[in-house]
Order: sequence, then C-alpha cells, then structure tokens
Amino acid sequence: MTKPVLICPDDPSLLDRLAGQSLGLRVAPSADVAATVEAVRRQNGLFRLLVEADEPLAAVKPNHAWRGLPVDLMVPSAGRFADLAGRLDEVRSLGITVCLPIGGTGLRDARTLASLGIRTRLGLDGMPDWDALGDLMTYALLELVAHAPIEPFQTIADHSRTDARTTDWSSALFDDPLRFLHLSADGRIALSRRDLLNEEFVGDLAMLGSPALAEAQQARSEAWRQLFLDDHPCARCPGFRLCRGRYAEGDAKGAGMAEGCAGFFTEMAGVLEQRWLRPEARPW
Amino acid sequence: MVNILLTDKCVRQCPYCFAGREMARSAAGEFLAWENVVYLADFLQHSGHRRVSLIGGEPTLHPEFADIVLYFLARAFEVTVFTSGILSDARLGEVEKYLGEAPVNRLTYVCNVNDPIETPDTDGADERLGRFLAIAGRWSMLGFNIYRDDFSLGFAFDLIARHDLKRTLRLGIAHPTADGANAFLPVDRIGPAIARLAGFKADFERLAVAPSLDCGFPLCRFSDADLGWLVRLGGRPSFICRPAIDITPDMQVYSCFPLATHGRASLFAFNSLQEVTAHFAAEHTRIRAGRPGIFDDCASCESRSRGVCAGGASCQITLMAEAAS
Repeated sequence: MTKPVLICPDDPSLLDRLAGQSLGLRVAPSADVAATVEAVRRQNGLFRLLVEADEPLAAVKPNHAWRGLPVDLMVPSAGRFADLAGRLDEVRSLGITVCLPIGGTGLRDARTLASLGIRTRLGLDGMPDWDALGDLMTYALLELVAHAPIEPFQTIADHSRTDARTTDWSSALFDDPLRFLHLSADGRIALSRRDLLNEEFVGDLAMLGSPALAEAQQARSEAWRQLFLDDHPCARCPGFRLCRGRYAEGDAKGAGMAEGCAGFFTEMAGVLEQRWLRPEARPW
Repeated sequence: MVNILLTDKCVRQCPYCFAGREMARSAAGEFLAWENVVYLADFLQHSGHRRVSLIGGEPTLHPEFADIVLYFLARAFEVTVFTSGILSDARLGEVEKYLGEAPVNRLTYVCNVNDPIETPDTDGADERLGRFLAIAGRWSMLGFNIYRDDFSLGFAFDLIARHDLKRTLRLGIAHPTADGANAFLPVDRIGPAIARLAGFKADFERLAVAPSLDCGFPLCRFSDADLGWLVRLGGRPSFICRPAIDITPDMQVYSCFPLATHGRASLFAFNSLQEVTAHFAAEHTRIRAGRPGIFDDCASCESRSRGVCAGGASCQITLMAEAAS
C-alpha cells in the first residue's frame, strides 16, 4: 500500500511530528503560506493547501503567495457575481481550485466559475438536489464550449476507462481511505472527512504505517462489499460502479433520496459513455 | 442580433409597444434564471456569436441585471441593453457602482425615448431618465420609435447634446403586433414619415449624429439624396427584414415581438443559433409566399429581387394578409 496523504491542520506542534509524510494542509486565508510551505517542504511533501474561508469568494482577499501552489480555496459560496467580476482575472491567474458546498448556490456557482475558466470542486457532504447535480454533471462532461473542470466529475471521467478503482467519488474528494487520512490537531486519525467531523477516529500518529491501520483502511475501502452481502438495493443499482454505495445510508434510513441518487449515477454512467463517443451535437 | 428578454415586466406603457401582447401572455413577471444566462452564453459562443441585446420589458428590473451584464462582458460578449432609462434609485446605484468601469466599446445602452409632448411625464420618469443619462451617458445612445408621421426629434437632440451621448440615433418603425392593437405606422404613412425624418438633416449634421435605421424601412421611399445623407453621416442603412431572434425568460424563441406567434419554439430544441435563424428564416419565407412586400409593386421590384430591400417588414405583410382575408 502506498503511503497515504495526511490531511491535517496547519499546527506547528503537529507538523513537527509528521516528517517524511505527504501533507494536505488546512490553513486559514490569512495564514503566512509562504513560511508554512517552506517549513513543510523541508521535511515533507506538499500535496495541497486547503484554504478554509468562511466568506464568499467575492469577499476573500486573494493571497498572492498562493500563486504556483496547489491551492483549494474552500468557500461557502461565490458571492454576488457583480462583486466578483472585477477579481476574475486575479483568481484565474492564481490557478487555484475553488471548493463549493453542494447546497445553497454551490451548484450554480460551480457552473458560473467553470464557464469563466476557474477550476471548481464540489464538497459532496449531505444530500444534494439530484436533478440539479445531474444538470451540472452533464454540463461538466458534455458541454462543448471550453470551460474549466468541475470536480469530482472531471477526475471520474478521466479515470473511468483506465482505472476501475478510481471511478468513485472518494478519490476526487480526498476521501479515499487508501489514499488519504484525516488528522485532528492533536494527531488522531480518521478515515474520512466525515469521520473527522464526527470525531470517529481509528487511532493516533503512533499507528501510521502499522498493519492495524492498513487493515482499517482496507476494510473501509471495501465496505461496499457488505452491501452485496446484505442484498442492499444499492448492490442492484446500475450506477453502483460510480458511487460504490456512498449514499447507501440515506437509503437505509428511508430518507427518500435513493431514487434520486440511483437516477443520477445511472445517468452519469451514460454520460461517461456518451463523452467517449464525442458527440457533434449539443446534448440538450 | 439576438435579443434576450431578462423580464417581461416594464415600467412604461408606450402606445406603440410591440411587446405588450407578449407581456400580457405571461402575467407572472418572470425573470430569466441565472442558469439560463450561462446556458445562453454557451449556446451563442458555440454558435460563433458574441453579441447580445438585453431587452424586456425593462431589462434593468431584473434583480441581477448588473450581474448579467458583467457576466456576458466577462465571457467576451458585446452587450447592448435596450432600456427606458427609468431606474429605481437602488438599481441606478448598482449601474454606477458595478458598470462604471465597463468598456465603452463593448457595452451600449440604447435608451428608448418618447416625445415628452406625445407621452407626458408620469411619476418623474423624465427626471429619472436624466439621472440615468448623467451616469451612463458615455455608454448610451438614444432610440426612437416612429408611430406617426408628424413626430418631433428636437427633444432627442437636446438629450444627446446635454448628456454628450453616443452620436447615433436608432430609429425604428413601430410595427403592428399580431392583432394590430398597438399604435403603429401604417404602410401608407411610411413615405411621409421618411420625408419628416429628412427634415431633421440639419440637426443630425449639427451634432454629427448618425441615423441608424432599424428593420422594415423600404428602400424605395428614400430619395438618392436622402440615402447619400444617411451614408455620409455613418448611418449604414439596411432595408432588410431578418429574424431578430428574441429569447424569452422561459427560454422560448421567436423571430421578433410582432411575429411572436409564428414558429415559436423552445430554444432547447435547437443545437445552434444557425439552426434557430434557419427555422425563422423559413417562417419569413412562408409569410412572404403570398405577398412579397408591403407595396403592390414590391412583386416586380428589382431591389427586392436583388436582395437589397426586403419590401418592408414581414409583420406588416402578415397584418395586411390577415386584413385581406
């Protein structure tokens, strides 16, 4: 198993204990990124900077130290377009990825920013509006007019024919337990971002590289097998190869979203096929 | 030209309004959704078209008016806004704040004005128009619709001079709607109206204003001297009637307001603007199959057969055909 990327807060006492690891650093927009990155790079690999802002993109002051770095700027929304319009060139020139929530105006904002050449990533926590997500997915994968990638759709599309394992949401969202581990400030390890937020930890830093941790990662990665053993409806869904039961819990709880997610992932499987056929006509 | 209706709501009640019937059709006061703004930008870009006209109703009533203009500009479109210039204080503030740096060569407001004597001011509309032009004058030209042959243009020249507006005056013939219920310029009054227009030559020349003719003017009603004058002032006159392509807030598409019921379809049924244009060009051909032009002698007219003149507007022909039947 390859060494996972550790997604962790920018905490000096924690970073001191992570020498030799590849890191995804969660930082505030105001953080002294240049100094942090220099310190990290002395003894670690830098996977990405995850800049966590609590203001809309239009209100975030871009940090020019982000230029040339792999930055994901996490914002609650893009904000009013009129407030953002004057900053588009600056945002584009920084080459950052703007991460948006799936709720609120997130889907609309992702499409707007992508159409203007700004790379976006959707955080798919919670239950989306499946129809709206389907529209965005179709746009992301089939629109013929040039636009920036929208993740996780782009990664899934890129790998859908070459690497069967990565045709699920997790890898594009830093949530694949084989490739990413999430650390709390005090060094406890979670297998997903959701687990981190729920404070469901599998151990601490002492476990890094241990067979026990590898076993936990492997088990989580293959948790989808249980759906087959349980004869869960997800196991019979044509969209399963893309979602791997990510929304199975919603179904089990009777949240009424199963039909939506099945329709969405089934549609996405079809769109991926269509994408490879390179249609001449617009899809809608 | 592609006209995008941001809303079907309006702040005025112009006697010649071509859109009244269409606006009455959808009483909901609908606004174009943002998702469709992005769709339209993609659709037009895919069609190799980078010019849009934002119309209404009154397009500035759209709550995201400034955002939409800025979005199309960010997508490298040229944007023309057809407005009354009558804006609320809040919207005028947004125009000043957000559009005050817009490139003059890529954003134009066509401010449609009426003769204040014929349509007296209500609710301080003239004052609001003046405030709009004081702020947006650099981007603005005036538009005037002719629905009677004794019109005046003096007030328009005053506005152009006072606010140092763009030196073009867009002139349109008020065409009839499908039911002919609006005030419009009858076919037999087009000649006198053109003669009236020529009477303002001195004002056009004094202020170096180019007369820009909208669709439906028949070439034969201009003298060679008038044509020379139009060209010399930069008017680039055209006597053709083509589908304008109007797109409604609910993404319906038709040729133009007066022909809103002819071949109307969902924009989503088309893959490109070329397909849309071809669809409505066929409608125009069908309309003209029975009667080629608005005058009896259009049938044998050399200019029409050479494609220099359309023989008047298709909507006029439709109304004449319906009246005859």
